[in-house]
Amino acid sequence: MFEKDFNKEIEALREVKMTEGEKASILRGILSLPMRSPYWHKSKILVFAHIYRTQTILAVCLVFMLSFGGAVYASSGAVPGELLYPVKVKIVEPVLDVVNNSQEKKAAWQEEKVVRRIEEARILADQDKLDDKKLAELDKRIKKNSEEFVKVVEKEDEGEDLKEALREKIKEEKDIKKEIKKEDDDEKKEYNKEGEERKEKTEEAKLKKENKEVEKKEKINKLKDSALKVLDQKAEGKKAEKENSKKSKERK
Amino acid sequence: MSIEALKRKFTEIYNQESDAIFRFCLIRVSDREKALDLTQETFTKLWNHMIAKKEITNQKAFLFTIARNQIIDWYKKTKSISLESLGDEEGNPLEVEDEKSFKRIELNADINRALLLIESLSPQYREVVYLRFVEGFTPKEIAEVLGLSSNAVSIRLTRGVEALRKLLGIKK
Repeated sequence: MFEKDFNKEIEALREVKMTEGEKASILRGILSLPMRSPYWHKSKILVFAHIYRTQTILAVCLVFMLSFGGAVYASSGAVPGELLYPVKVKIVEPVLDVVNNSQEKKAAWQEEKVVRRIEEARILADQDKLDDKKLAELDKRIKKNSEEFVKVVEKEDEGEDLKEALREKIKEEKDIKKEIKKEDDDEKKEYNKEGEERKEKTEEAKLKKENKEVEKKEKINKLKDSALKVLDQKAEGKKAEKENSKKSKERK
Repeated sequence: MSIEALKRKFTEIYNQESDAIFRFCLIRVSDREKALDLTQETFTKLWNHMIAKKEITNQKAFLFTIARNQIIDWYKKTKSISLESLGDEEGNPLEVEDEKSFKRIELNADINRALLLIESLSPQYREVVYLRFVEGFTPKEIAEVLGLSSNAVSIRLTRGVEALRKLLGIKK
């Protein structure tokens, strides 16, 4: 008796169904789903990349790092006129502007940029490639970099100290250069003693070289001066401002 | 197989199995709208499988496996929500939806006693007995859906039927 009832109720349970409307709407929904085109073929490379996902990502990162990282690294030693120089000043340096986000790092980095420009001028001068065009470009950049440095530094309390430090650094480099030159001259003197015949020739060469050296030095100094000018200008501007504000306070 | 042929084959399977899948979902979630959603999701997966030309040996078992997984996922989601509102005002612990779902099913009859009986079985027999007696699955098909061996299913079935007989007051 009980078993019969049980079976009956199982039958009743089987009658639990969707309505025809529900059934049709679900079917319609599924069959109208967007489908992949039959002309689409799986690329073997994509399948491979899908199966070995982790390895592929690592490999791509490695290639990217090697190629781009190499360019970035190589660009760090680039000078104006070289292929990678735009990478250095237009990509790498702006990125580092953002990366160095703390005030302290920013100041140090802006300072580094000014020093870099001088360094580039020196490298070019040593290679006899520092023509007026490149000098003008470097001059423009060093002014810009100095202004940026001043901007960053002025926000800090020790702004003046930092400026002074950069001034010292620029001037110091001048002094080192002088010392090196002196040493060179001493060596040459000794060399000249060896034979008087050579002396005349070497003197001529020496004169030429000296002229060139002076020229180079002048060019580099010009660059340094324009950086120092920006540093001083801002300082003077600030002083004037301060004085003005003092005066106005006094008037009040 | 052309798209049209695939559609025809899919419609055939759908007409044959959709009610069983819907019933299976409704009994577990006791919410008609949710059961309809789960049915649609289950058949969408089958359709995607067919389009991708993946081989399916037993469509019925395949569909029930997907439906069962969808229901488990749904429970996980609802449980994670209900955890935030643990217990009622009197501090009684919250009743887990899963345990009572069989009892609150929307059936035409007031209460289906067969369903209540199946529900009163211990969880390890409940699904096996349901699939065997309501949906007419073979032990092998049940094994495929539940991820068990055929032997384990046979043992559970025998013990489940015994328990049912006891509940019905039928002696061997």
